[in-house]
Amino acid sequence: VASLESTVARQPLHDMSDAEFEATYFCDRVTAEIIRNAMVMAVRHMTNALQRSSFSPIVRDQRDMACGIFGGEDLAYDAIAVAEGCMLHICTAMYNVRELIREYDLENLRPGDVICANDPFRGGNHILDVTLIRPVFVEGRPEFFTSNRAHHTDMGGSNPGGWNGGSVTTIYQEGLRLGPTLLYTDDEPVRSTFNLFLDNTRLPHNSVGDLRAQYGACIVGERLLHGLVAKYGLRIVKGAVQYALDHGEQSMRAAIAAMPDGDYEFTDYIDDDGIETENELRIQCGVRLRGERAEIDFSGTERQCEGNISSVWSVSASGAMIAFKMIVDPFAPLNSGALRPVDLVLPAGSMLNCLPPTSHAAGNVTSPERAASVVYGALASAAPERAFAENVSGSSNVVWGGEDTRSGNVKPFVHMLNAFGSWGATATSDGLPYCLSVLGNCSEISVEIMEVEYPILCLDKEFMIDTAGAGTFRGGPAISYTNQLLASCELSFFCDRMRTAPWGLFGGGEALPQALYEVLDVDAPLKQGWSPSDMLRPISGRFDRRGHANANGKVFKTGKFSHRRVQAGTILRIVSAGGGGYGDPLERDPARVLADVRNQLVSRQAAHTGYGVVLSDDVRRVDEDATHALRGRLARRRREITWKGWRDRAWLDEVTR
Amino acid sequence: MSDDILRGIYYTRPTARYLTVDRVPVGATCPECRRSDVREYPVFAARGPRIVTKCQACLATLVDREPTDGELHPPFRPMTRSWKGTRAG
Repeated sequence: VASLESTVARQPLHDMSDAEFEATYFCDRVTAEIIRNAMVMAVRHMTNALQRSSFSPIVRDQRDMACGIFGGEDLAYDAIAVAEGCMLHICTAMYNVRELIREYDLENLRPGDVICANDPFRGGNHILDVTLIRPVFVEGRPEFFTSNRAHHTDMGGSNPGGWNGGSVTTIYQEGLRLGPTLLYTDDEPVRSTFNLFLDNTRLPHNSVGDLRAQYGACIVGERLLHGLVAKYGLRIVKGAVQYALDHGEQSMRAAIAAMPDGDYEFTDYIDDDGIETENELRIQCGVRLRGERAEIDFSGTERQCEGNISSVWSVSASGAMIAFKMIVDPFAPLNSGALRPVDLVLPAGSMLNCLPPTSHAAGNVTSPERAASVVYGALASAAPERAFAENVSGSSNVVWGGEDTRSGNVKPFVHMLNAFGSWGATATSDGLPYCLSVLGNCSEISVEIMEVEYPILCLDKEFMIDTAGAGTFRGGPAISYTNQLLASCELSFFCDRMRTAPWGLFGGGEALPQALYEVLDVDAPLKQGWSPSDMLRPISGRFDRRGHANANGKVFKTGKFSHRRVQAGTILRIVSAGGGGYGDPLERDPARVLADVRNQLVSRQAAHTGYGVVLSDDVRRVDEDATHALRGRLARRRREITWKGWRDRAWLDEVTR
Repeated sequence: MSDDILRGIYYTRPTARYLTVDRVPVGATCPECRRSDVREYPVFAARGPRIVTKCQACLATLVDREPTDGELHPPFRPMTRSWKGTRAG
C-alpha cells in the first residue's frame, strides 16, 4: 500500500482522476466500493453469527456486543469495517485491539489462534466486556484481524453482575481481569484459560457458550476475508482498505470544515459516585474547531472519584467521538479514518481518564455518557440545527442475582435489567420514546424472555404523563417500569440523572429525572404512569415533599448501591428519565399538543400552563382564538424567563387520585 | 506516585479537585499560520495515545509521536511490558 500515514495532504477522492485513483488504491472506484461494503457485510455476518449462537440473554437478545475487522501491522491495526452493534464497544475497539495485539506481540501469533482480554486499563471497556481477537493470515502474514466484544453478565467479584455501585473502590474487587491471553491455539480451546475464566464467574454455563459464540464469529469473519482475497487478490483488497480509511477521514474533515470555527464549551454533572454523595461531579468540555481539524479537551473535569463510576481513557474517548461523529458527520461509514482529524485531551486522574487500580465497572456507562452529553451541548452552539437536547444519558441498571428454583432444580442466575429512557428533542422532531442512548445502541430483552429466563414478573411498563421536556419539539416521555421479584436475591442498582434532570435546549424544558421506588402494595393503583405517593417508598432519586421524583426536590438518595438483600415478593418500580425539549413550548404546533393530550402524554393542565394551548371540552380540537390569546399572555409574562420544566406538580394529586 | 516497580500500576487519587492537561510551550512557529503558540501535550488520537506538538491557533500538528515509557501515557503499564513474549502469551 502506497502510504500508511494520514492522507491529509492527499488529493480529495472526488478530485482524483480514474487513473490517479487506480494508481493510489490499485483498483477502480467501483471495485473499491464493493470491497469496502463487502467488509461491512462481513462484520454484519459476524454480528449475526454471534447473536444466533450466544447463550446469554444480554448477548443473544440485548445485543450488548459488537464485531469488527481490523488491519494488520502495516495499517497500524486500524479499524477497517464495523457495523451495527453497541456503539461503545465499536468505538473502544478502535483503540483496544491495537493495544492488545502490540502487547501480545505479533511474532507470537499463529493461524488458528484467538486471544482474549477484558482489562479496561489496556484500552478496554469494563471488566464485564470480553474481547476476542483472531489473526487472519494471508500468504503467511497476519494481514487482518477479526474481533468482537461481548458483555458477560458476571465476571466474579463481590456482587452478582459486577456493577458494585457505592461499595467497591478498586478494580481488584470487581472480578477477573485479563490482559491479552491465548484462548484458542490451532483452533483448539486452551483449557487453562477456559478454566481461569469459567472458575471465576457465577454463570459458567452462559459464559462457556458465549465464548464459543465469540470464537465462531471470528471464524465467520476470517472466512469471508479469505474469500475476498481469493477473489480480488491481497494487493487490491488492501488498496480498497486504504481507500475506505481515506474515505472516512476525508468525509470527517469536510464535515468539520463545514462547521463554523470557534471554541465551544459546555459543563454537565454526574449525580455522585455512591460513596461521596454530597457533591455533584463536574464534567467540563471545550470543543475547538479550526478549518478541517478539531480538538476536544476535557480539562477542568473533576478528579476521579472514590466509587466505581470514573472511566478509563478508551471509554471516554469513545463516548466523545461517538457524540462528535453523530453531530458533525452522521452519515459517513465509521472506521478509524474518521477519527484522524480529531484529538482528545483527557486529564490523567480525572473522571474521564482514571488511574489504576481504581474501580470503574459502572464508569463504563455514566462517565462516557456524560462525556457525550457535554460534546452534544458544546456543539449545539456550533450547529443548532443538528443539536439534540439531553437524553436519559445512560440507563437504569438493576442487577439481581440469586438462585432460581422454579424448575425444581437450583440454578444460579444474574440478570441485568437495562431500563431505557427517552431521547431529547431535535430542531425538527420530538425525542424518541424509550430508547437506549446513542452510546448503548442495544436492543432490550423483551418482557416475555425476561420472565422465562429469570424469576421476575413484570407488572407494568408505560409512559408517564407530563414527564417529557416541553418544547417546540418535546422530549420523549419518562417510563414507569415495575417488576416483582419471585425469588430472594442480592440487588444492586446503578443509575444517574437522578439529581440533575435531562436538560433542554434553546428554551426547551428539562425532563423528569430518574428514580427508583419500592411499591408497597401489589394492588397500588397506577394512572398514566403515576401512583399515589403514599403507596411508594422512595429508594433512589431526588424527591419533592410528596415523594415524587423531581429535579427541584430537596431530598436526594443515591442511585448507586449494591450488596442489598431483597426478599421474594418485593416490587420495584424504575422511573426512567424523559428527554429534554427543544425550543420554546409556546411555539409548539397546537395540533401536536392536542395529539399529546389525547395520547395521555400531556395533561390538559400542562397543555394550558406549559404550552399555552386551550382545548375544547371534548378534547377533540384546539380553541385557536383562546390559544392565541393565552400564548400572548404567557409570552409577556415569561419574557426573560427560560422555560425550566414542570415546577408545579400539584396537579399530580389530581392525576393520581 | 508509588515505588518505581509500581509505576504505571498503582496510583493514588489526585488531590486537586479539577484537573487540566499541561500544554508545554516549545518555542516553535507554526509552518501553516506562522503563529508562535506551539505546545506539546498528550492526546488520544485515531492511533491511540500520542504525544503531539501542535499549533494552538490553527491546530496544525507539527510532531506526532509515540509516548515514551516514562511519560505514562496511557497511565497503565503492565509489569511484564519489557518481557519477551511466548506462544502462550
